[in-house]
Amino acid sequence: MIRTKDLKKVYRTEEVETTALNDVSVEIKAGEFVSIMGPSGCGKSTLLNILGLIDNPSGGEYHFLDKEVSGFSERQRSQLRKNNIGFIFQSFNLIDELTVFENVELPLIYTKVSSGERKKRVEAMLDKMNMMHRRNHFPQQLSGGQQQRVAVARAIVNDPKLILADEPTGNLDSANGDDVMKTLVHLNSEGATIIMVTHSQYCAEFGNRIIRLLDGQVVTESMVAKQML
Amino acid sequence: MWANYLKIAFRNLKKQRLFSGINILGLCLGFYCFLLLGFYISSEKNYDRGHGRVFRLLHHIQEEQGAERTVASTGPQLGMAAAEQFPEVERATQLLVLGRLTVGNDPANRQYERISVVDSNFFEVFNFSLLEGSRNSLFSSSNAIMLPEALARKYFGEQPAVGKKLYTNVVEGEVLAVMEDFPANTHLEGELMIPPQTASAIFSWWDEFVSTNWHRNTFVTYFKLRSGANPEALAQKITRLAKANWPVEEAFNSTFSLQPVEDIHLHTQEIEGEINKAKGSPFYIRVFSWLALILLLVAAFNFTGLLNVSFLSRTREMGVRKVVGAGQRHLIGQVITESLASILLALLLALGAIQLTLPYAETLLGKALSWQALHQGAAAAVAITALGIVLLAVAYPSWLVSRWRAVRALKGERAVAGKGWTMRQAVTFMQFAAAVALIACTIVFYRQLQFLQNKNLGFDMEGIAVVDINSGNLRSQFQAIKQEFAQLPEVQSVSVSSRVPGEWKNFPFISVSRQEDNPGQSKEMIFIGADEDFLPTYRISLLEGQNFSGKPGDSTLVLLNEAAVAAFALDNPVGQWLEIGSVNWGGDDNPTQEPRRMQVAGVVEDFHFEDIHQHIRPMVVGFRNNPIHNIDYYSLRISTSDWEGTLRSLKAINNEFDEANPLEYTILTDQFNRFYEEDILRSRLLGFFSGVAILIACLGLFVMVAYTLKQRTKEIGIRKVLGASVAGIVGLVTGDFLRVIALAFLVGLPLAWLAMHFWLQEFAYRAGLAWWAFGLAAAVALAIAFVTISLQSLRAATANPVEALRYE
Repeated sequence: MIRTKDLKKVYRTEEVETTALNDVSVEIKAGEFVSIMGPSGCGKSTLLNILGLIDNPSGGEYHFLDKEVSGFSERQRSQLRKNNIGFIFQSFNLIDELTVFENVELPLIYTKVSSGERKKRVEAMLDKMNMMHRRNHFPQQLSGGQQQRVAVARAIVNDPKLILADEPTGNLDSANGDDVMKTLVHLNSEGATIIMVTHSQYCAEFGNRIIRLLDGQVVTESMVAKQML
Repeated sequence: MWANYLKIAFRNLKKQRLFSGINILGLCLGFYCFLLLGFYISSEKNYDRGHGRVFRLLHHIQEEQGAERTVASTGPQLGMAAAEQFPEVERATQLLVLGRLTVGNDPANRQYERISVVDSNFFEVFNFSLLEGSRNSLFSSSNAIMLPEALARKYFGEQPAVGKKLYTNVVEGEVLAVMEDFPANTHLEGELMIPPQTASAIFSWWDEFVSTNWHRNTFVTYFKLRSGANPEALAQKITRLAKANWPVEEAFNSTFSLQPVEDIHLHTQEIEGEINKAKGSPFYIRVFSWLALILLLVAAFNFTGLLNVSFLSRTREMGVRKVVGAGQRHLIGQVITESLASILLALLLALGAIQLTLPYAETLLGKALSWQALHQGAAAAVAITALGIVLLAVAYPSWLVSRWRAVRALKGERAVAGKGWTMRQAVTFMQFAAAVALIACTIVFYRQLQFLQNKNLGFDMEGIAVVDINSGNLRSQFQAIKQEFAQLPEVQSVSVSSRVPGEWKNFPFISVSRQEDNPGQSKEMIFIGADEDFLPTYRISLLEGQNFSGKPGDSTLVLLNEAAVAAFALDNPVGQWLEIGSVNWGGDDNPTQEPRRMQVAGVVEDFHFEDIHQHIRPMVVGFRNNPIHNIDYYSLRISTSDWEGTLRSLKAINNEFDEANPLEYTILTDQFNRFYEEDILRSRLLGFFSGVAILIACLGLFVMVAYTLKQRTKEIGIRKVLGASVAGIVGLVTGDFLRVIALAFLVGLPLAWLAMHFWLQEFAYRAGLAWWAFGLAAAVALAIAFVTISLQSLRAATANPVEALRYE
């Protein structure tokens, strides 16, 4: 599903040049659940953003769904994104002015799903996430765990092939964190490919492979011994 | 999708009440001014429409010194013959203004009304209709009168006017028709009208004059042309026709042209012999157009700036939208929808405000804004232009917003202030350039007005009342009347004269030459006939020589003003002999029987006998008993606290001599104030609109500062922890803005200087462009800006630094 070769990302300001990614080559197959780990500033989030097509690399190749996309325009990337990728963030990134229902509905609006169909799918999703009773609340009225459940619902309401999670449990207590991880594992078991950036070894082991980065380079790749959940 | 946009728009408006309020208020003010001025301008341009291809015949006369005069009237035969001979003319109608008559439905109680002669084609050429009576009876009777509806109501109330008698001092006529009132947007004036058959019965000269005269500028001629007819070619044919029939004893220096009636209202500044009740001013139409555009631009820039700021603070939302699938198109759509909601709201508010404030707006504009005179298409065009300009102002920020990179936006990163100008700085710059320019213009214009009002006129008009001499009776017994006026205790002195300062009728021009001048070297000068009390009553200074003495020998004497002495470059004017070769009554020169010789008795100081906007022209003051011009007025210097009582006494004296012609008087200060009326109006208008501009600019500045402070909260906190003082921090924020504002002054003030330089060319006497007016404008704008900025930055600077640091 994903293959990169010598992926590079360099940030330039007037005086300093910072290399965030240095020749990263990874391959991720459909159905995998890959965790990316490493210390702060090692390039985890940069890699995730490039894989998620919300940032573009400075060099190297990126094949997504067998297409070379590193040279894609924002318009083309936007098309690919909205039909194939769901994002989950550490800080949830819900829109404060929209209700729970409207936040989850947003991706369906942009993919032109009819309003009746939207209602059905959003309600089903909220039900699944156990958030139906909060459907008309605004994000500020929810706990962190609830907000992240809404964010997950929004990420998967369009049935994306790929789910990208950037420290999804970083702002949550352990109980809520476990809930989110279980949801991700469940989604993975239903066929979604998941790439997750995390600091926590505990969380990383929910996946089936761990990629470790240091200073913008892949240092190790290891399979996780499957445990019983 | 649109529902989602609107929902967000509405919630954002609610959430940011203050900012949204300011944003919409600013735009609403801009729309208000633009629409008001726009409607006013298009109603001024919408005169005399709906009659088809109707033209007015203009007569251009080449003067000796290469100057050209244009008169709106011609000899009666020219129009008639042209209509007969040239197939381009479908119809022609001629109109003759006879002047004023006393009119009443009771012979003993009459009032002054204007009267004119109209022929039966009037209703074929112009699209007006009769309300009562018929054209057949009107145009076949020899004592018929036609009234416009307003006059019919004035004299006969709600009863039908047709069949009723009206008494005038020339005819006892029967009202045979009532026509609809002329609408507000026509140059024609509603007055008493009589058909040619009636005129022919009243005036012995009528038939012969109308059937033979080609050259006297008397009748106003209107042609309705057939479609496809070329007015320029027709005008050339008319010129040839006139030349062929011109009387042999008259020099032919004329050309003729055809002016579309639609142009009459605005394009008749220099045309004599007008029927144009309220001439419009194309100069001020241009000024108003610029003003409207500037104000809308100031408001639009404000909107752009505020929109930009409000979306900058929503970068995260935009980022999220991108991540969940929004494309560039969606984001532009969202920004536009949200802006459009505010724009339409502001537009509706502005329209409502115009409707609510219409009476005040009309006072401000100095003219009724008639919705009916406003062409609907033009009104729509004004509104669409306004919308268009504002939408353009929105396009750039929406494009900018849509281009943010999702990943940056998500992190809440905003456009980093680079070395170039930010949009905020550009907006502040543009607004303050416009505001300071308008303030400077207001000050300069106000100063010019003060200058005119305080200018020494060369005579003392306080306490002067002018009484018209309106009948032969009153004129022949003037000495007795004058004596009775003078005996009233409150009357200090009385004078009779043919014309008075501030004159509202035409001045006659005479051609004057020195004895040694060759023919053709004569000069045109204004002539006034006056008695020996004229100078003392008006307190006009005699510089040299003698005033009239009141004795018979005075008839050969004249007084000159300084301008006349200068025109002849006379070294010792007193005692010199001058020749008066002809008199011109605003039409053509009428040679006197033989040149009259007049001796200069004295020289008077220049005084403003005309509109203060004009240069003082050379003038000759002859004695009251002169062959050129009869006396027409009494001027009374009155000192009274009981004006009503004085007026009663004056009326009583008038009625002793001629009861049929009621007393008509003018207070001279009122007459002169009329000369400033327009200027006062315009200075008020300019003051109002510059106030609006600075208000919008400050609203914008307020938000920009608030936003900047929000963005720099953390920086301010850190600086304070490190030891920065309150003054240092206020200076930091204020300085950034003041630098931009100072730059705006550098552009705005020279523009204002240029604009005022051209504006002042409209005035003959100018106060000049004082540098301090521009300094004052800058100081005022700066002070207002400084207060706006420093109040907010002071609050930020005095806040507890911990709060600032906790902000993140």
